Amino acid sequence: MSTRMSPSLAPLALTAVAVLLTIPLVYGALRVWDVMSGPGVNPATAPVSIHVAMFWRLSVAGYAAGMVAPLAYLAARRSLRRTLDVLSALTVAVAVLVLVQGTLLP
Amino acid sequence: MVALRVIERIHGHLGWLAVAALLHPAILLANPRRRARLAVALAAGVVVVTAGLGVSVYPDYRTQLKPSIFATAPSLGWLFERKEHLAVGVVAFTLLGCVAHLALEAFEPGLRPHAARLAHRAFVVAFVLAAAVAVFGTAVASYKSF
Repeated sequence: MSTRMSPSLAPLALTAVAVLLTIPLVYGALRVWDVMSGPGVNPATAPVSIHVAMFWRLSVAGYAAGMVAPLAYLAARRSLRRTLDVLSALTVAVAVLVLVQGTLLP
Repeated sequence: MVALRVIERIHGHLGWLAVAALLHPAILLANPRRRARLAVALAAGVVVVTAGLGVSVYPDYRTQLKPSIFATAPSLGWLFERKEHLAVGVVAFTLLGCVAHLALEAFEPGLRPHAARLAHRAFVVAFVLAAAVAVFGTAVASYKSF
């Protein structure tokens, strides 16, 4: 079954892909930075803060993804093929980052 | 407390359902000509709802459970931290795969196999991460919950 779809949607789809890749990329990078910056507080004894680090990282990642969006759209409008290739390669790189950060640098 | 316990249980069960739902497109989309819009949309829906429930109880987890888990079983506390980081990847890669697959027909025919491979890759990654998240989450929930 094939569905007709406007070709103008392709750059928008790749923009969404770029946004969705940027979020875990920035989230993971921020957490790696946190861990590398030194030992954090002991969660067993530290008073609970209203600052939720996870939500903060997600907000920053969302902001960064918003900045990437117009660039990705312009790149996709210029060359769908190249943008697709770059995003495919980035998918593997970001997956490795998420896996390494998530398991080794929690 | 009862409401939190109910939400946590639903979140846990939906989490395992999400793992199964992600396995489906991860296998089906290995063939770049295959279209599985319903499977992809359902998998994305289950993942988003599961994540939403998790986020909704997360602030209460931090205040009510996290300090005592870290005090009595730090390895499980760190396991939960791993789960939360990997879960971000699950949501992102699932939605990425969903967008790439649902938009396939917008690409010119020569580019569709490339976009299909991207979608497949994303679902494989999402499945692997989701399986780890489900195992870690179950381990922590078996130790302590609301």
